[in-house]
Amino acid sequence: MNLDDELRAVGRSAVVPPVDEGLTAAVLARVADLPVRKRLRDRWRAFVAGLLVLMAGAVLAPPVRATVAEWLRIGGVQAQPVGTGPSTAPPVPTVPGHLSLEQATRTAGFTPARPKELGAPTGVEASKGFVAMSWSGVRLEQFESDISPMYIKKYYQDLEYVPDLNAFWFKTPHELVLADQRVLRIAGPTLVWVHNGITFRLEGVDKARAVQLATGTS
Amino acid sequence: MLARVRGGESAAYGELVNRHALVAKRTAVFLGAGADADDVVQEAFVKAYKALGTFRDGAAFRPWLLRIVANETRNVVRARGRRARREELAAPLDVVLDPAEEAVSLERRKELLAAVRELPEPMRLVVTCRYLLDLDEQETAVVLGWPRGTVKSRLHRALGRLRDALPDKEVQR
Repeated sequence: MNLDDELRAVGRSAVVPPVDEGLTAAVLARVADLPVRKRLRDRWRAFVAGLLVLMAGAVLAPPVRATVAEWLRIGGVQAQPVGTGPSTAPPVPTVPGHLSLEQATRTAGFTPARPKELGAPTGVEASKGFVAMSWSGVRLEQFESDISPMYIKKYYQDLEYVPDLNAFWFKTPHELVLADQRVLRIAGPTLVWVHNGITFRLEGVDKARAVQLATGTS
Repeated sequence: MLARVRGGESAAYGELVNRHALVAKRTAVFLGAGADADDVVQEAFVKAYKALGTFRDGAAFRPWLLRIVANETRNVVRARGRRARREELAAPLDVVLDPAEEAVSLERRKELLAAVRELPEPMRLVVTCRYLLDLDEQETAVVLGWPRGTVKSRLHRALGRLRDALPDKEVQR
């Protein structure tokens, strides 16, 4: 590993106390009556900037435009394109917990769906708004989609859209990052979709199988 | 978003605060704000709001905000220097490392952190922004208010020093 990557690991793993909960409210209260200083020429600038955006949109080469479009949110997952990525991923982690589905429902606050044809999962764990389950080599996570994303997936190749499910297939290994920027692990190819306000991540199988399992998930 | 805020929708600013609060706090702590980090962050967001009129359209908000955080942190650290009980004060990079990070051993990370702390200030700042906070070169230049070339050369020298301070480890693994 390069020195710079080691330094990044130091930064990522540095524990910083959580942001003061009252921060946003305090800031908004303090700025509520303050005018934002505005200059007349800002209007002209805004007009020119708008025009430039329109012109840029017209001349951008299609691949560039595709990249711009693919910074997208899929429920609780933020897909973020990056230049390079890992070439392999470790095996899909199995879920160690052994909750019953009833216990998981109670903890998560919603009834988890599962791919019917896989039968009973070998591992189930849950926390508020989140359930993970696994079968041999297959891992399914489902979580309530919040205002802010839970995961950021740093992918570096095309996302494949699966219209039938309104799902996205991340076809290469990629960094799975928590919304607080902590790298969780390298994830393998994954299918992500949203159903009834719940975001699903299915990992461990190829695309065709993932689509098949996702279709049978209820 | 910025357009909405500038258009007088101050509530929309809340979204910007939420989005950038974490990196603002990390920056303040890494630069030595210690127990004052929350105050620094709050002050920086208020100052940023007041200065939105000078924010250049199309520029990135994050580095611009972090520059304000960095300046605010410097003010706090300076003000403290005038107080008496120095030994209780937070130092830059006064952080705990999470043992769970798997990519690099805890021992190695502690060595690295200690070596970065020992760097002369400009080098420590550039390593903190570019690597510990993982900003890109352009963002680092904005946050520190240096030309890009300066960022590049100081970074280069800082890495050289770190390599000297940490002999051979890179080669061994």
